[in-house]
Amino acid sequence: MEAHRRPVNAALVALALVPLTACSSPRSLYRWGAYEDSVHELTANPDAVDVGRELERMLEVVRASRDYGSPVPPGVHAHVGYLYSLQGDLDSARAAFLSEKELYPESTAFVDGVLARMGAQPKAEGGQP
Amino acid sequence: MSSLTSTARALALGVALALVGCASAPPRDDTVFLQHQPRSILVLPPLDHTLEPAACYGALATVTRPLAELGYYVFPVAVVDAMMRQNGLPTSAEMQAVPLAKLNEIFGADAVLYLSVEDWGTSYQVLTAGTTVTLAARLIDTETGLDLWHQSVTVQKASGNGGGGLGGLLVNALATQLSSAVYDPTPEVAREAAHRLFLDPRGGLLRGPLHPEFGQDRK
Repeated sequence: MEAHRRPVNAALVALALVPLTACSSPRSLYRWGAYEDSVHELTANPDAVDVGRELERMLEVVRASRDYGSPVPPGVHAHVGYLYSLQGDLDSARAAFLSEKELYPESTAFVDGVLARMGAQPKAEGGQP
Repeated sequence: MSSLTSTARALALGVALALVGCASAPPRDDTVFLQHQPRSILVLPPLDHTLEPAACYGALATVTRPLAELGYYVFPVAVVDAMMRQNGLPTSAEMQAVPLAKLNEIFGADAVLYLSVEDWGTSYQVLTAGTTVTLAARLIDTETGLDLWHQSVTVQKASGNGGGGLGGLLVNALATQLSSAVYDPTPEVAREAAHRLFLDPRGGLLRGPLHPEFGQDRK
């Protein structure tokens, strides 16, 4: 678990080095990109979602976090996994859900349940979690 | 000079009053919260107590970010919503009625956030237009059902106050109504409401275990 939290640990070290600036400026833990917009798209218009477009901008959130050296925000990998499952790409969906669990062990019960249900579905139909 | 001094006096009085105001606020009691310190939070789609169809999912999209920035693991709200819909729960009222034990079994969340939207959107009155968002939240411990924290917040943003007497105000209200057809300020006001709901220094939520400064904001 510690190994997967390296960005957070790095943030801790940075905070310890500059305690005064850290106190006076509100720091963002994450880079959110289009996540809020994508959540809105998927929940407000679930039957009219352009899955390819959502996947594209969510993979950009993952990329930007990595480029910036900050952890991918909570829920983003799982959101990506769900989008892959909508496309019928269950292998990529599984990998994304596993990334969620790896980065955030808090999601273990949830992710294991999703993976079990995906495993129970015939691959050809491209099911949803 | 004398006007400067009186300004300074007024300022000093204002500061003094503000301090008194702060001191007289009832101290918050975080005992139950700290006894059941959550690490992960399941956010369910909000109950909509407005007549605006956009309110429920407009509000839902705003809460993950401030909660996660406070140091909590927040379950992926869109995935949770889709899963519940696919399992025969098409409305937020039905989702919020799922027993805690069942939610615990499926998600393993330490706490569940129950939200409601009480106001949403822009209202046009005779003289002015304003956008109001009111959010109410209860954080419930999944194991015990105890209320760990609750808070409600209203954010109101006036628009069309350019002056010019009664006629000017009427024109402004009309102009706002027209321009709002292009630009809807509600999502921005909702983001502000969600931000204040969780981050208000007095009534907000204490930082969670994923925050580097976890524990430093306790009284």
